[in-house]
Amino acid sequence: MIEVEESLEAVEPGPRAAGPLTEFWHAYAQSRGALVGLAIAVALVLLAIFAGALAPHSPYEQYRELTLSPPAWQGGDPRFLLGTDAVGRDILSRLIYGTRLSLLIGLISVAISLSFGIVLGVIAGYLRGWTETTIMRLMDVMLALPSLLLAIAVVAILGPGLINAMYAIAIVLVPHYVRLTRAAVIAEKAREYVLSSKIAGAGPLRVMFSTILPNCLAPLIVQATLGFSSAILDAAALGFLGLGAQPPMPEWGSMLADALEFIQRASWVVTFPGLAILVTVLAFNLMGDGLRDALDPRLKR
Amino acid sequence: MIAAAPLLEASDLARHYPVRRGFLRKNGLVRALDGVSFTVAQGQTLAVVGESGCGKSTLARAVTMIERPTAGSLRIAGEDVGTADARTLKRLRPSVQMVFQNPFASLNPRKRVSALLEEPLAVNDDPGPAARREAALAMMARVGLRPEHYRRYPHMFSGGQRQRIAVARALMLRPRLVVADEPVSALDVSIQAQVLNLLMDLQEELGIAYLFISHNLQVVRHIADAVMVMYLGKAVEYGPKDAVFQRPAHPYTRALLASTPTLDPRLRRERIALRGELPSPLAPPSGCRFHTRCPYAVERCRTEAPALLPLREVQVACHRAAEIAETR
Amino acid sequence: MALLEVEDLHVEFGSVSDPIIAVDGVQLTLEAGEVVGCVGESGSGKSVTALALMGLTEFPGRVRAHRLALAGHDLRTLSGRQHRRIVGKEIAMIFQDPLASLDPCYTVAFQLAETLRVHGTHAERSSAKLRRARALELLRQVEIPDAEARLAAFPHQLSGGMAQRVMIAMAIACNPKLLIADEPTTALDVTVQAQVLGLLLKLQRERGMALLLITHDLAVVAETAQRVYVMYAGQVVETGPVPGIFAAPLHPYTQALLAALPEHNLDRKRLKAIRGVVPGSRDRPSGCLLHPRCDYALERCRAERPRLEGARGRESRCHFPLDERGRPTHGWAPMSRVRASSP
Repeated sequence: MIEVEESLEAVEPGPRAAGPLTEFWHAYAQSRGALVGLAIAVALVLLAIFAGALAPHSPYEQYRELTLSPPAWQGGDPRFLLGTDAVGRDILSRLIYGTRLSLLIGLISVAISLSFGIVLGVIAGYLRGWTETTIMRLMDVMLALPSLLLAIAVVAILGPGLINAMYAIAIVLVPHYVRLTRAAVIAEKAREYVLSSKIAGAGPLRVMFSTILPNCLAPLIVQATLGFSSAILDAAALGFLGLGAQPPMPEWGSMLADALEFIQRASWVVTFPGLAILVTVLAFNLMGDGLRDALDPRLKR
Repeated sequence: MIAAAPLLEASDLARHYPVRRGFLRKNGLVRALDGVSFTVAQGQTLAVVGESGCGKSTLARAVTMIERPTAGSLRIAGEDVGTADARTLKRLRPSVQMVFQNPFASLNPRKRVSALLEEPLAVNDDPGPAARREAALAMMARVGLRPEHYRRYPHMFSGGQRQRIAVARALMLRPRLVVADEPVSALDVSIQAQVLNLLMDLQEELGIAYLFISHNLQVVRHIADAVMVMYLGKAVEYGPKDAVFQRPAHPYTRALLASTPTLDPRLRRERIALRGELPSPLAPPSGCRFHTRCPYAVERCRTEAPALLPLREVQVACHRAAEIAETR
Repeated sequence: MALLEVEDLHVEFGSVSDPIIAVDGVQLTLEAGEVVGCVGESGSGKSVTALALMGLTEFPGRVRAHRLALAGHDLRTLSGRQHRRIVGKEIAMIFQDPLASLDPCYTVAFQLAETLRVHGTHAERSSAKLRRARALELLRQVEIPDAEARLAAFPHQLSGGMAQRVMIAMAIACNPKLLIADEPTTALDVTVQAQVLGLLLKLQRERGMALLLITHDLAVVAETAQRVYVMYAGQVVETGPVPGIFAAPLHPYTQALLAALPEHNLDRKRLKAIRGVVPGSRDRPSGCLLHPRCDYALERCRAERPRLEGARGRESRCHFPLDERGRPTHGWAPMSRVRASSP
């Protein structure tokens, strides 16, 4: 039995004994912008979950006698705080319910594209050779096309609708994750701990997904957060073009599309959905920046 | 008593890497390991000494069966691994494990100590979570770690502690041979002493053999039974530790020993200045690879590569070894 | 007047209320043309001290000293420009990993010339041709073979030893009075290490330059330095001339370091290791920083922080410094040993 007294006494005690999550939180909370972004995002999530309780009206109910009613402070009916749209639906309620749709779009698109992107990226980065070449050239082709046009093309094939819009956006996002993952995997592959796992007898699958992948997650997490906001914008663009959410769904982009003709007469119908998109995208971008700052320096450790 | 077959036996072991030199140029060949022969017996320590480019890392990768030899044979416990199929390799893997140089890079930063120690077991005939946990805790105690370290991450430990974790991990599969690639080079002197003591205690307790790669001759002198000095992929001297240190036969060995800083002025050796720089492994010198830098080089050294031949207690690859030994 | 005078140097990081103490009252003096070694393990604060001397401590590090003077100039009160002019020219520094210290995007010639452009003579500052000639001359002085060809090389095309020589050339380009070398040979092969150390000593002799050699390798210091400072956990614990300090150390830490070397354990199987670990930034022991690990610690060591005392040039920070036989003196009695620990 080895002399224990010789071994170690002062292992850094106290705060360092906390897990990487606590340490990450400390690093993340350094940036005020990141905290603001997080706060807004949390508020949006709560809005989405409790939309039923928070929204004053149904998003589909049309008040025919009060179409294009201005916001309450501009002289409109106080029941409709932000006014009504061209068929008399309450804009505030539609925005609140629209939060659900936008967050859902972001979540599902990013989830699908991350899954495919990570798997393809890990395989490409680990196996190299012909597999890598094939995968990467395919991704290059996808990246060569403007993302929105690609999304439009996919939706044109699948047919308009919110679900198909999500698939389209997911497909468009995949190449970014593949490239990121592949680059990270190639960098990590040469590290000694990977060699250590191989010597212990780990097979290729285990080395790829259990050993290497957890160390590649940091840039992916950042990119996923930014992808979230990008997905919302893309969905809004598709909705604007009539290819995404179909009426009467209260998706922000299609709200914009419907309201374009009223931009001079009733600007509030355009402004508020636009603001909602702006705030959401900004919040997730701030979160992404904060995540990058929190995760990147730790990578160097 | 019947002499047991050596645990590790290398014969003319070679590992070459093709190197692409550009679109229209011919491929180069890096002879990282070019015909090395040695044996390691159970419970013994063979130290491999050399500077950058001598092939010691390549040797480590060949012995741990990460890469197959390009030529020559490598036998582990009597079985040839150069021609073995994947199943045999998997069966042999637990017998040979490795401890790396950099304690900060050799442990997966995303895994807890528990996962790090249990992974080797989980991958080879998994005995189940309870048995794994027990084995991990037992090994931790053996290397001088405390039970509360079980759930911690590598970055929470100091360099010396990480190296202990690395040693523990290497021992989980009860290997018969451990390749230690510069295991203490990145550690402070006082921690170095602790880890070296640990390695020696474990060798005594468990009968492990070590292939100890190091450029630090003072450390090698302490821990080795036999020493092999390498230069540009070839072994230039190979023999028992005392013989190599007290009566070094090869000019390169003598230069290495002379260059090693020594505290006690009485133990210092006369400085032997080596000419020139280490040649590129892509274009090793003709004949004896050391001749471009050797103070004793003659014409024959440029044209004819010397073989590793016995001289008194050691084997040395030098045309003039006997001559040089006489004149000292 | 000594070339470099440092008294009571403190360097802290982190918050003011709960600082991480990296250097805890270090004193150093260097005469012109001397070779002084600064030895210590990781966490001893030796590199931080060197950076503080150069004024390179990064924010949020805080440096304060009772005295910090170079050739009489008080370094604490210099303005940014004055600092660059005096320190940039009179002190030069080379670091451990030469390939990390050289800018990978520029050739050797460019980087050498850059130093001359800022700190060179008036003629050098204005003439590119003169700078190139001087760069070539510098490369020859640091014994780089085929210097002309090397001028056009990029750092990644150089070996470790070559790159370190280029660093040295850059460092001596403006004839500094003091060269600080922070672990200059740790990343190099042992034969190259011998060459580079030999080169440093040669240059030092030829130019009458003072050399502060920071390293963890006691043997390197024993072979190159004239005097040595031994550092532990941010403090100087012993100073003395080489080889006297190694033959008869005054401080138990120096004695323990020497005892842990494989060189001094040729007759035993197990090396005599020092138990415990170097105190981190947070759990500094009370009293003497070494007491939890010291074989000779008594109650006084736990209670009272020792000061650096002793004959000029041969001081130690210990209540019971060792005699020439390596046994503690000044009233040490083996009875009341204290075991551990931090507050």
